Amino acid sequence: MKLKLAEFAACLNIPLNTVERWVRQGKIPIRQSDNHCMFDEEVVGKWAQKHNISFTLSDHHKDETKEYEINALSSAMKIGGLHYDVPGDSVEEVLKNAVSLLPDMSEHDREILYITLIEREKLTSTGIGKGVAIPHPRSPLTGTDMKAFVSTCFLKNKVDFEAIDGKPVSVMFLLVCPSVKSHLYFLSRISFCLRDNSFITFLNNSPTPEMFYEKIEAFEKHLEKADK
Amino acid sequence: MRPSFLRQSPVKWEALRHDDRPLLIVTGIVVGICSGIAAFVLNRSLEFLLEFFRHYRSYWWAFLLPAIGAALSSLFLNKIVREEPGHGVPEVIKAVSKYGGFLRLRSSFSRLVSSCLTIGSGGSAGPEAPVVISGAAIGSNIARIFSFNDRQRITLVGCGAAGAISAIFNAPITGLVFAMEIILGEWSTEKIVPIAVASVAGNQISWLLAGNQIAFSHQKFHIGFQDVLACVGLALVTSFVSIVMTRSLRVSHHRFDKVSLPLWAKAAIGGCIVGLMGFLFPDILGEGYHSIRKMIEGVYTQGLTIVAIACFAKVLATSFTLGSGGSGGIFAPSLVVGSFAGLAYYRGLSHIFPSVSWVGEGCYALFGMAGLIGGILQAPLTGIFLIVEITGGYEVIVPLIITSSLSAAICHYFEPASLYMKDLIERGQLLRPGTDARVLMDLSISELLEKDCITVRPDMSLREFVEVIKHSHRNYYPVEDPKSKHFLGLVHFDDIRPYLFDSIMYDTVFVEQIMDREVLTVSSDEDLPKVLRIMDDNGLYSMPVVVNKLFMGMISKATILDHYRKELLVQTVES
Repeated sequence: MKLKLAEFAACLNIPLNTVERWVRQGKIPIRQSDNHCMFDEEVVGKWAQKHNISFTLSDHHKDETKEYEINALSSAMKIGGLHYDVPGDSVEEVLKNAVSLLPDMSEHDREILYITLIEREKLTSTGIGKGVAIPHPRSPLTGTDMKAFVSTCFLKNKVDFEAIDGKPVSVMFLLVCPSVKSHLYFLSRISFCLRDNSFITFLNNSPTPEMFYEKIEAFEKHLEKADK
Repeated sequence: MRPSFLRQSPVKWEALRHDDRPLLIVTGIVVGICSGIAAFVLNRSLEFLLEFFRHYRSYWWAFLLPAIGAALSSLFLNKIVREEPGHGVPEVIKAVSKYGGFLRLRSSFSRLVSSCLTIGSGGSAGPEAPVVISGAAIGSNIARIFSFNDRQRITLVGCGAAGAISAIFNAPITGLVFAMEIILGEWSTEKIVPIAVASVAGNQISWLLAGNQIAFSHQKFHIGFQDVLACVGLALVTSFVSIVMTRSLRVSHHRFDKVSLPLWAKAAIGGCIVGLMGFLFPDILGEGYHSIRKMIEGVYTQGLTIVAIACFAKVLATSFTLGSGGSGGIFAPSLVVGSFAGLAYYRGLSHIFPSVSWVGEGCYALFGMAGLIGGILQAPLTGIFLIVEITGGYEVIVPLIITSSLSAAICHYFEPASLYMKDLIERGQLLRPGTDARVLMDLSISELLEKDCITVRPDMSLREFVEVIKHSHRNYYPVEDPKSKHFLGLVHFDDIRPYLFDSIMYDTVFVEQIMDREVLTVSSDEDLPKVLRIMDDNGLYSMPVVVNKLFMGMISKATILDHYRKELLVQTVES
């Protein structure tokens, strides 16, 4: 197998100049020609195992895709989908109905998700005021290979979430994430959008999915600019 | 330098690249043969020169012969091949531990010529070290032709040394043990096999060229319990003599270093003194195998006093020869001194206990040799195997083990480093594999550099700085001058943590007001042990690396530990 030496070093998670020195000193079973190296995957694997060094050929790329997943709120919202006229008169009912609307989930998972949502709701209300609630599970759903998603639900009837400002909730962002990091990330992005009062008015008019996503993307562009 | 057939057909050599053992064994045989030839050539030239000068020994000016020989040898080394004088063995050890076994091509013959001049003319030194460095240099250069890596090159250097010792003494096990115990300082199976093969090859080539000579002819010894006991006393004597010899050699080196004369003149003075001593004790001249033979055969007739004086005279002669800049090793002189010491001990013993039947004076001379090799080189195994092999007798092994290991242990107490290693240890150049010093030497700061720090400008407000903190996962923020990019100081997150939540300060405080200007920095070519010492002394966990006033990255104890562990595993666990 042939790889660039820098890529090979990344697979071992060891600095490039250390790998170069190891080749020179004959401590690693690879052969170097210019800035490439030739090696037998099995031999290097055995060598790495013996020396307690992690060696994975694809590890390098996996990390990159993970980063990409976290990056866009709009894409997480597209996975979760927009749901209009979600029925229910109490917190339990709207959550139960919202969970049943989620795409690609087994009955068992829906049940667990619902239980953890209620658990979280019992701690304190997720109603953050201005008629918006962000229900989420008590702890991130770790150990699953699911992607983070945000499901936007426009409620048929206003429901009392015991929110901070006492206003009944008409819009819910159901936030489900596989990790704490992504959870915090999406939470901060959503709250950034909600700080804008015109967005609240926009939400109250039940926008079409196209308009909604466009608006979210605009917010994200704005945030990215600020970051730079 | 790499031959074209290797470059053009990488596929055929692929199997050998992954498992290089067959390749190492084959090249090891070649190196062993070359070493054997080098040993044979030096041996024959020495015999010729000694024979040639024998006729002139009786003249009054004969004391000038060692002087002329030493001066010529010094001139040859310094002016023609431009190499340092010395035993040679420490250089091989240094090359192995510091330069990946790299030795110059000219080292493969330079010491042969110079030591031939020194010893052939009567200087008191040994021919082993020159052959060892020649063999090692041949190994190193064969490794270069095949563009071997450091590990393979070091193995071939060991092969060269093993072949040399094996050929000189007709002692293949000693060659192997010498290479592992003294030259490489490690016992790994992947190195033992090629070195053993090279040792046998060197041995066989000397058989082929010179016949199966046992350097010191074999006699049957009948060891009694009283002899085993007596060896404890002998070990005390040999360790005393070893310490005297080690110190005498060092003192002589230092004294001659201080004399401000041309090198060849110093060598000539040393040679003169040795020549004059040679009038009184002719046995101290040359490498001394002849007198060893006489002592082992029990035909050395001088009494206790003369033998004891001769023992110290040989020590002095060797110190003058080598200290003044003559070329040669200390192996053969150690053997001669050891046999004198053993003989003197025997004479004393039989004088005090005349009724006890001791095994014989030749045998004690052998034990003394093992004691001296164990003591001076602090290599007990080499001493034991050498005597077993050169006498061809296994029955002497118990007293040998006692004398050699006890002598090595006592000497180690007074002289913690052997003569070969002492200079290297003082200069921090002895780096045996798998040791702390070795690991820290291999890791360089550039390998440990953490480059994920975000640099900031000094005129940044705290508000802007907080934005930077959001995107960083480090606690240190180096401050750079925006124009010159020079490193100005460091902001440590811990120092500003309390003010981060005070939004009033956001626009009133600037980075240059919160940065630490008096921060300790290191440069990228600093030794790691020194960096760690600075960290320990100042209670730091990270330090910025600054080169030419430019910030290169951070170095931290956490990263050092991570890499240290990996390096240690790679160095110590055999693959």
